[in-house]
Amino acid sequence: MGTIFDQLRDYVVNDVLEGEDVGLEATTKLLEIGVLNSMELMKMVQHIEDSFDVKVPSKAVRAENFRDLNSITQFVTELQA
Amino acid sequence: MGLHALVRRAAVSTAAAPAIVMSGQVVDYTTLDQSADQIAAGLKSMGVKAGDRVGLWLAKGAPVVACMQAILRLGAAYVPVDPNSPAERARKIFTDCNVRLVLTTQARVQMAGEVLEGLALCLLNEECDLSAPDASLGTAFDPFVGHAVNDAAVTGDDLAYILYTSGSTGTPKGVCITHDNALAFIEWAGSELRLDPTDRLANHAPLHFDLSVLDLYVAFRAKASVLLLADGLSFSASALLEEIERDRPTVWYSVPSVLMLMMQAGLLELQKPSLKTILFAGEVFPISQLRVLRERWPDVRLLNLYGPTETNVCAYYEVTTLDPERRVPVPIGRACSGNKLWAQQPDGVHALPGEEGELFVQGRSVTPGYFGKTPRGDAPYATGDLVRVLEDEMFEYVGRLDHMVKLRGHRVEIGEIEAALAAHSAVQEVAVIVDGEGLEARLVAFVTSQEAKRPGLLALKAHCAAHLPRYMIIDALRHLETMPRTSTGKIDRQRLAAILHEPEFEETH
Repeated sequence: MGTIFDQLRDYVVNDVLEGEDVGLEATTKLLEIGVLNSMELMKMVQHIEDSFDVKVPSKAVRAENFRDLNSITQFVTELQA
Repeated sequence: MGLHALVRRAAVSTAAAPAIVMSGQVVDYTTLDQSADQIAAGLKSMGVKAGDRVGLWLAKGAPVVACMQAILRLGAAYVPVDPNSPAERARKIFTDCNVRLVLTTQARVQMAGEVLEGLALCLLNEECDLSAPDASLGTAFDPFVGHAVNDAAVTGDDLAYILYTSGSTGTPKGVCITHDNALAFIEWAGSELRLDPTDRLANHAPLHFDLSVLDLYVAFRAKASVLLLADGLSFSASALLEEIERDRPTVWYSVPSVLMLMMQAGLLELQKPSLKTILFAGEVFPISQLRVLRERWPDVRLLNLYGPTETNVCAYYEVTTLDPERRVPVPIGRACSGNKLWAQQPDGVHALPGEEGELFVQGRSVTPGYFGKTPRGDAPYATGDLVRVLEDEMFEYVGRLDHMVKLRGHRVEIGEIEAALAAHSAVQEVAVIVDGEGLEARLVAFVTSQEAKRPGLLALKAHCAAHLPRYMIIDALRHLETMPRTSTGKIDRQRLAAILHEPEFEETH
């Protein structure tokens, strides 16, 4: 679980936030504060599919699965299971 | 009456009173009057006559102000150009309005080389101390010491000066201002400010910028003095503070950016500040900073002036108390300078209170047109500014119609995002630009802040999220030590866009 979390966090920091991680917690509300807007959410889904070798069903792209780093980590873990 | 009558009149009644103060030098009204006559006599001998245009490519100082008076006395119009302008742009302007001649310096002519070829040039000593007994304005003018000229008879419709503004296409446009345009504005400003001869107006704006018109002519109208702040000073807030402490102006007028820089440099900590009135115009004053100014200096009059160069100042708003809950900038206020204002919707219908529309201006201070273009007559001037109509014939600025951007399908007002970010306690100055196009378009915020409490991207995103629609949340953040500025002191948005794409740009954390 740690590696998935770390990997996702790295992605958000480097590919979304341009390297800035100040204040980024496991529970930071990524959708609510616009870290993941519609464009970024799309890219993130692509990233998850590529890096974790999973298929993200379009129905699964829901707020509860992408709310924060914790929920995305859990979501990816479930996809891999 | 012409615009130049103001100095003439002051010279008669308050001869020995200071007219111009700069770098410790004081030029009284008699000296200014006589220098203007001397220059006018010289220009007349070179063929300058009523109806001509004369270019001014000189640094700020008493000599260039005397030149302006001289040109007006001959019934001609002056065309001031940024003294630091590239020669190519200066030539473009002087050629566009077909000047009779250009007053400039040997140094500029040498720097320009062949670029100025074909233009009649007249060299002048721009640093001449007019009040010195052996003052020399240059060999072209030395023979005319003590000469006097009679003022040409001008009508209100004659051109007084032409100010070039950048056109949206990149070619400068010459905004023609008549004597009547300028006087309508000066008379209004003069009576609104209620000045007396002991007042001193600080002139921060460069002389090719319309803000300077108020500084000079409202001072002359009141027989007060104008404190000229050298062109180079505008980039050093602490140098400006030293000038204020030394020469004690009572009126300050600049773009808000400059005021904020001065506040950062300690303006509000000045002992026994001389300023009684602060005027600002040209861009939106972020409400958080305006509130600081209002609260720290409750006795100083604060006025927001509004008007594109084409209209002079056509609206004003006096900032009295500020509602602590207020999150949006103060209104641009109501009509002045003999103008009528209204907001018009795309179908031509006038907007009612609560509605938005493009601001139109019609009246005495509105330009008759751009030089060389079809005269507008007294047709209403469309400002390109979107405003909201308030009660009491007031207007609130909403945004620039041509800065309106579509971002991922949404209509986005950059000014609204900036206003929201400016209300964040850690943000000193902010500018937002759109980077990229279509789906890749990103909102990039450039922010200055105090080192100790530099706001992070996540914090500002959260702040946006709390005040703006989702689609207006910024995507990226750049911290700057200082905002890049244009020669007129406004935030240089083109430079910001360029900074973004410089590979050597390193974020400093």
